[in-house]
Amino acid sequence: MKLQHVRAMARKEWWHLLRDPQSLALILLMPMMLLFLFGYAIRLDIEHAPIGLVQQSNDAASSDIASRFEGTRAFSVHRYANRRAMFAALQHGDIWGGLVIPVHYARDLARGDARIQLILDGVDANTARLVRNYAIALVDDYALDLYGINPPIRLEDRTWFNETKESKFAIIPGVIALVMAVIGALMTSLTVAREMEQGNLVMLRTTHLTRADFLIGKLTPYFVIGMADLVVAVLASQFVFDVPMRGSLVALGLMSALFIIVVTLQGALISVSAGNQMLASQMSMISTFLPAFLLSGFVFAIENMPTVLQYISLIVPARYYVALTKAIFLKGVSPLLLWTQGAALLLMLVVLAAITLRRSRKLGLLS
Amino acid sequence: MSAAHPVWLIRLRALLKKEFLQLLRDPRMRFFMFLPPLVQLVIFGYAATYDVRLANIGVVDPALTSATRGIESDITATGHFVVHPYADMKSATVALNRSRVRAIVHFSPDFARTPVIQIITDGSDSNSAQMIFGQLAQTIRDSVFRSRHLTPPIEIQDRAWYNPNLEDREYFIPGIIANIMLITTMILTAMTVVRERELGTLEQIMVSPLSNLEFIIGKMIPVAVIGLIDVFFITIIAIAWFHVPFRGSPFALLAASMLFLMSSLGMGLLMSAYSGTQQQAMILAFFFVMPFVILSGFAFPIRNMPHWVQLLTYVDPLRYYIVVVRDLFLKGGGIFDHLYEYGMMTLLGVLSLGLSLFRVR
Repeated sequence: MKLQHVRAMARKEWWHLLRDPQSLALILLMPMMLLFLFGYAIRLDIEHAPIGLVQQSNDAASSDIASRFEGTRAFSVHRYANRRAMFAALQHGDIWGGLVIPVHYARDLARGDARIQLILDGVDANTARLVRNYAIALVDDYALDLYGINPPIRLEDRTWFNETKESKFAIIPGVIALVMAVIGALMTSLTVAREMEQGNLVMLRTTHLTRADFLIGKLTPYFVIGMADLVVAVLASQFVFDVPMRGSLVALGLMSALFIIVVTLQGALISVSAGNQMLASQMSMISTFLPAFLLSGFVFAIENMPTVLQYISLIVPARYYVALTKAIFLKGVSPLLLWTQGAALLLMLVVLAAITLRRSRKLGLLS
Repeated sequence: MSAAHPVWLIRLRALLKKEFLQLLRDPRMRFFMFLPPLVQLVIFGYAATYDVRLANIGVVDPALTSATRGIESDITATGHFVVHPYADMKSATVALNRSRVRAIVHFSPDFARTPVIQIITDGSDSNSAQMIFGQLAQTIRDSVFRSRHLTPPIEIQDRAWYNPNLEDREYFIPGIIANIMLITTMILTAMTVVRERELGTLEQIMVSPLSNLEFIIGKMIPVAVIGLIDVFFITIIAIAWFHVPFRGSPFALLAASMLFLMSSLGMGLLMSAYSGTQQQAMILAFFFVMPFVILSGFAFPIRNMPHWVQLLTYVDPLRYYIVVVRDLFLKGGGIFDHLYEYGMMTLLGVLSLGLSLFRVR
């Protein structure tokens, strides 16, 4: 391996990238756009959830519980004259759930056996569960008040690392990981395949360039772009979205560098194996975007998945990086977490590098 | 070739033959177009869930009274939690920090006189935090009632329409089907025209009598056919493997898939027309695929988005397709129930195809 060769290769790849400023701009814009979309578009928590209410009797007890529902920030209550009108609204999607306080509510409450019906639109199961939890909590609190349990038991809700439970804060560190995973692998996945497709490799075979020189030179510019994307994304997260940064920037930088190397290698492996750009694009789309989106713990917590999938997720590099970014931004990372996730990424790096080098034998370059 | 065939049909047939050959010649390409969608549906069908079924939680109980022990055993009895006792908050904090537990239930030391229960959740996963808090709080309240030999005076009877067990899978699988369709077909189309341009074969086509329209149709049909085959198989898997009910009309699904393909292929072609190299096309396609997926309402409900973001979702063909597929699976219905969605997909398709017609050469 010669530094001079690597530099020459890297310079050539830079030129190739700079010749196409449009794509370069898109790549640098992508983290901004995704942060904006995810930061503003995503709300998994509910506030002012529209729910319907049918109060079938006008007695004091019914009005009392109804006003409790109207008083909470979680719901925005729409009153309906009867069940049928409310069901129509539910079917139409105007409300996410509907409460029915029955005619005999007051009488039943006096006997300690009152029922309130809650009909949910179950299509979006997560929102339905949240609405149900809020409704049950509200009624339980009300019941505890009613009985006047002495001494009153206080339940305190404390959320650490993200005190207001804003889904934005939980998601943005993951978005950064998603962007890195995708950009690193997507862009590199086409580079080697392009050379193979266009026959440039034949020329390279006549030079002193070794396989390692070739690959390192090819990947270096993409590594630099990945790091630039990271800087853009971190700046935006701090100054636009006010996500806290409780860990060390140095740790974030080091781990990101490690992760970007892993994903660019992943892209290179795809590229070498595919041999043409069309196939490479399909392979990289399938093996990077959806796994990084769905199996990394970025939106769907890995702990909630079936055990088999938890094991499968172990081979998704984004998984380790998502855990790291979430920890570094929100928790302030512990050295142990840093070491285990870092070690996993390092292991992936070594394995991927070995396989890629072996696979790239078919390029016909010097070893 | 008999003389009864019009000339354009002969030309189109020749182009189609070439396109199909080019796409399916490589056995690995054949593999990558049909198998991964199936595998993806199976994996992601299990992965996409917000529901917390079993969570490790820590308990710190300095009071050690019968009341607190009763609450602890009630928490274990729900079957939703694995309880780990910790001696003090310090060790419990470390466990939460390292994600070994996802929540801590902390009883006040003099629980008999001032009963305070803190529920501390890990907000770095805000959705699970809300879910776990809700379940724990409910369990504790019930437990308090029971320990005083009271029955809760008010009960909420809840019933969920369309999805009685509140299965996340039934919500996500139709969306995953649509996502797989978008990702496979849009990128494939985006690459296919540029490929000709990059390899220089586009010039050969330009000197042929092939018209723009014939060229575009010839490029689209093979990808559309592959997309429709994929939809067919993944729908079968969704029904047979995941037991997601399919309550609507299969023809409506076919019609929706064809209209969706028209818009996703149209947009793919448009990207193709604006890029000079395959790498450019790929980056451009990806630049649009990500927002399409996010704004489609697949994982994040559109109705929870701020108003200006909701406006953006109107140009997202995936948004309409997901509504139709989800409704066909869960609610039932036929073609006439989704005329608006069909119309919007047609509009987006016609617009993008029309634009690419002008731009392609």
